[in-house]
Amino acid sequence: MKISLNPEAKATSALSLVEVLVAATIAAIILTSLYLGIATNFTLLATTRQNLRATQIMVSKLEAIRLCRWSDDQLFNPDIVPPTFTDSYYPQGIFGNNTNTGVNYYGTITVDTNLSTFQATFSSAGTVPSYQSAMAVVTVTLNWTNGFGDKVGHHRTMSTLVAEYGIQNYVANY
Amino acid sequence: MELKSTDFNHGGRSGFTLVEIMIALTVGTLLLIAFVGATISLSRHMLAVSNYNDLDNASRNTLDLMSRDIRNASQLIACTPDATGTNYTSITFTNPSVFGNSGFSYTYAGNALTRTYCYTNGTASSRILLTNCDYLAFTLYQRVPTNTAAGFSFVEAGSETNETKLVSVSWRCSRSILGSKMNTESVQTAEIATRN
Repeated sequence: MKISLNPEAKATSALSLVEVLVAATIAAIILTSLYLGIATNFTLLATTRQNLRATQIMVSKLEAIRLCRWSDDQLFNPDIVPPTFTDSYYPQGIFGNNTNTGVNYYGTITVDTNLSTFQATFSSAGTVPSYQSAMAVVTVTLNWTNGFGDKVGHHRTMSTLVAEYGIQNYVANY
Repeated sequence: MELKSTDFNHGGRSGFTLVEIMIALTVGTLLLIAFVGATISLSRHMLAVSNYNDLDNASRNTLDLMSRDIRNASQLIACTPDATGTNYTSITFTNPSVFGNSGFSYTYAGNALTRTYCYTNGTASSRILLTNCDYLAFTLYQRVPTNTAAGFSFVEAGSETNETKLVSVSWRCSRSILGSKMNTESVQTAEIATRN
């Protein structure tokens, strides 16, 4: 049996500085991209939650508006249906005495009996329903900023049609 | 048999110096700490997102059912005030044309919201809609609109709960992640008007 151990059989060498720098650069780019991608996702999630809350606020206003009578002292009264309002991401009291309200929403409500704009957007041209004088467009608009470093403005609008003979037509004790 | 011993003469090759080893270990340790920290943080956030998704699904489902029920109802027949006295933890509605003499109720207790539905034949079914619910409150309003500092609102039902026409509900759910309560809340608010 012949055993030969020759440590000089093959010359081994480490990585060169250039190879290490290139590898480190690629790794840094990959990790940074990964981190930025995940961070962007979290930001997007937060924005989506703010959108969802904005939808809740707008739907609440449009739901409640159906309890107003079709009259100058309720539906068309700016003292009852104010043209502007504010709300917050966290409703008052939901965190007990914690005053953190999160993002602030600034909204407007308009009640418009002129359906021309609405009709031009959602209906075919030239069709003017005979009952349009008994209808109004209620539009709720919300504006807010995202609350992160570079504040980005957001704007959402929701509209609905209410009819004089469609909403609840009782005489409230007002 | 010929046996050639190993030659320990490395031919000019040398190992790392102590300084190189120390620097490499320091850099490696820092990278490892950063990697482990980032992994833990990302895992927590991923779990938070997953939890939020679950909670939001439950919240939306609950709100859909509640909206359908309350819109179909005609009158509030019972309610249970909470500790504040102005909000309620339980509401029971009826609509004789739909539910007969029975109705449906939503009850918040033990961090869970339960929906109980009574059918005209006297049978009832209960279902837990929300769990991990830290806060839930119903606020009842009459049909009289008013303009408060908060904006467009209605007069609270007060003692005349049978005059309830609008139900405002809000809740908050959360879960613990890796042993600590993390802010995975799913806040839900809505105002629902009875349509009958």
